[in-house]
Amino acid sequence: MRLIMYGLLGAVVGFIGMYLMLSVQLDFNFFTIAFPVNVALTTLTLLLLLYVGVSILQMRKKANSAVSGDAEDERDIWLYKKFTDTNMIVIASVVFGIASVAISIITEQATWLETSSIIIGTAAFILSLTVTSLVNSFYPDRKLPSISEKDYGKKLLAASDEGERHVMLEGLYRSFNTLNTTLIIGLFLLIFYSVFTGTSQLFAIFLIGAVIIGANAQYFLLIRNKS
Amino acid sequence: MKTRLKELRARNGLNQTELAKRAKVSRQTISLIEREEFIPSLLIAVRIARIFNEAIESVFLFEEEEIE
Repeated sequence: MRLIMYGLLGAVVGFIGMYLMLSVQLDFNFFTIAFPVNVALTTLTLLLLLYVGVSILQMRKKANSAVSGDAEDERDIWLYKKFTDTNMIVIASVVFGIASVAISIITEQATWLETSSIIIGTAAFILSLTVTSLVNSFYPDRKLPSISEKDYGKKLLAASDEGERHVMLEGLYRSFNTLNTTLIIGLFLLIFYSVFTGTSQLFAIFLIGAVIIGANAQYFLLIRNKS
Repeated sequence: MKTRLKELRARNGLNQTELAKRAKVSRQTISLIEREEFIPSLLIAVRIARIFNEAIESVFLFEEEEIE
């Protein structure tokens, strides 16, 4: 009985959902709002970069402060949290920077906006490298690899101890699962968008599909060969 | 697994950073062990026990059902 009720409920929700999707006008012209979106994204990237810049200065100052006892542990916890927060912000700024560059080039915005987007996007990329390399100055006695070294990711993992690897594994596994699920949802959204607007998103669909297959193949081949 | 790490650290006047340096691990690992969120490898457990001049089983305490 419960199964029938859920089935009926699903059918009603599905019908209403499809009816709403078909009635909504999805084929709006992005070019009409490209300028304000471009300006907003570039400004947002700039603000995030300012936050990252201030955070870098704060972390450098804190890392050089002379402390002992429990204050030394508190400083390390503060640096660790600030470093991860800053990394998160800098990644967001890189993505916003790339998006603003893409909008300005694709929609052929004014030269000043294109130039600003490119400069701020490049600054975001450079700052992301600076933030990553900061960890070396926090722990000068540890043999951590330099960001410019080949196989930086592998070497950093090798230089991490078992507790750090345990934390990374937990975080990365959750992130990997989330990424898999959201990319699949993204594929369906792109299919719906293509069907309802008539604008083909096949290139993006193939690209995302290739990324999903590639990333999963890398993971499963690695664990398969560790049998 | 329970651990007496925090108590032993306090008794010996060591902060997490100092213990981490002596055990050749990160402060984060010491913190995880203290919060009982991570069971260290035998090698690190031995290093930590030696720092406090204690037997390994008196630093890391297992419930009977965990080792059965």
